[in-house]
Amino acid sequence: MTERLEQLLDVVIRGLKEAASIKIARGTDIVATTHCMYPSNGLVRVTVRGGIDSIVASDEGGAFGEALSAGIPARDYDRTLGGMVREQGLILRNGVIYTPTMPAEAAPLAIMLVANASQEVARWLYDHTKIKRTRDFRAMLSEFLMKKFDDRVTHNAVVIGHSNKPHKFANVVSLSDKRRLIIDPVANEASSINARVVANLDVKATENPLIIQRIVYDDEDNWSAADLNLLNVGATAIPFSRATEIIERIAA
Amino acid sequence: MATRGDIVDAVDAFMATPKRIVGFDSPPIWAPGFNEHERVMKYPLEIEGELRGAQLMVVSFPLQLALKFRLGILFPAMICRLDYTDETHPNSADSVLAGRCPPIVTGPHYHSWQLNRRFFKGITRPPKLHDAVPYNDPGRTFDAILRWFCSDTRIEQLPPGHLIELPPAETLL
Repeated sequence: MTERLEQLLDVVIRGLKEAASIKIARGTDIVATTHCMYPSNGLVRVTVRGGIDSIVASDEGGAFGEALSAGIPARDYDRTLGGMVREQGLILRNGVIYTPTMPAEAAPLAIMLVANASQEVARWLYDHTKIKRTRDFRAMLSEFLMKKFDDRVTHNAVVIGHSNKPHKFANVVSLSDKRRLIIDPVANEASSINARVVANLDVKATENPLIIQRIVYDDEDNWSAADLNLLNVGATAIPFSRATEIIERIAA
Repeated sequence: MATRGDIVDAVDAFMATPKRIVGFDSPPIWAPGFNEHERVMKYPLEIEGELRGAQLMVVSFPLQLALKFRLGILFPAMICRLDYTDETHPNSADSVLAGRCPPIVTGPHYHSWQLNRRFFKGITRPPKLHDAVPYNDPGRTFDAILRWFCSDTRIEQLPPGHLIELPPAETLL
């Protein structure tokens, strides 16, 4: 039993040592690969520079590099996240986390502090950032309608509501039998929701049987049930992912 | 609502569709990363004649003397990535138990979509590409590795005279 345990101990010690190596790099730095993991499982590395008496340990931008490699757009987070690392006496500047100058004997501590802070910052970025869509769904909707209905689509068309107020709609498609289909995209923001619901309600109040109304929302956003219900007060709401088939069905 | 499964199916279809890099015939304009250690270049990917927002992302490390870079596909979050680095990457326990990945990879490694699709949570959330296999292809130049990546992700091969290359190494003053 003891022999087997010793073998296992050997495997553990050797494996962890191999994974978390400590090396000299460029002839000037010590690079320690730690056991802390970034969100994508890469091990956090800390670089130590200095002399006989004092050192500075840094993640060399590793936390933000992890975010960049996930597609999170680069911007300045120094003020937003500086406080998170400051609690441990660390500094975040220009996207790099580092210690103040510390005694050389404190190098192991410096490595542990920087590694854990780097991991924490990377996790925060993963948890608190959203990757912006490269294309606006409203533009995609408009493009689809242009392809499908060609010159029968009018953009920014004006429709007069029951109140006599003119409302602008992003897309109005002329269908057969003089019917008109209003396809109104809405963003997941209170001002957009309110504006589109009011405009659709006012047009709906005209009770014109030749006007068909649909509000299109981007179903990849997190919509609350209440907001979706509110959209339906204005007009029938349809998710963007189903918009193609629904619009084709209405137009048939 | 589009379910997670619907989106994964859409990414599967995207990966299976032939793609073409646009802009390979002009020198790259490198944008800054979050810090001085990294530079980024994004090339639009054309699919069925259209630019639908997907991009090939190249991350360079101009302060590194050794060959080091990342290649990935943004859709618009990173859905697969090759890390040509000397970093150490532990894999998830269930992938190791299933024999899909070795426990720990040190050095160049590849987070394929196929290995990581099960971790996908949606296109606007930064994906956690937990699993990677070693990059073992004999090609060890940027161009050779880029071509390998293109081949694996169904990106049309680049012509011999393409201008996609890493920036020259800089040194810290």
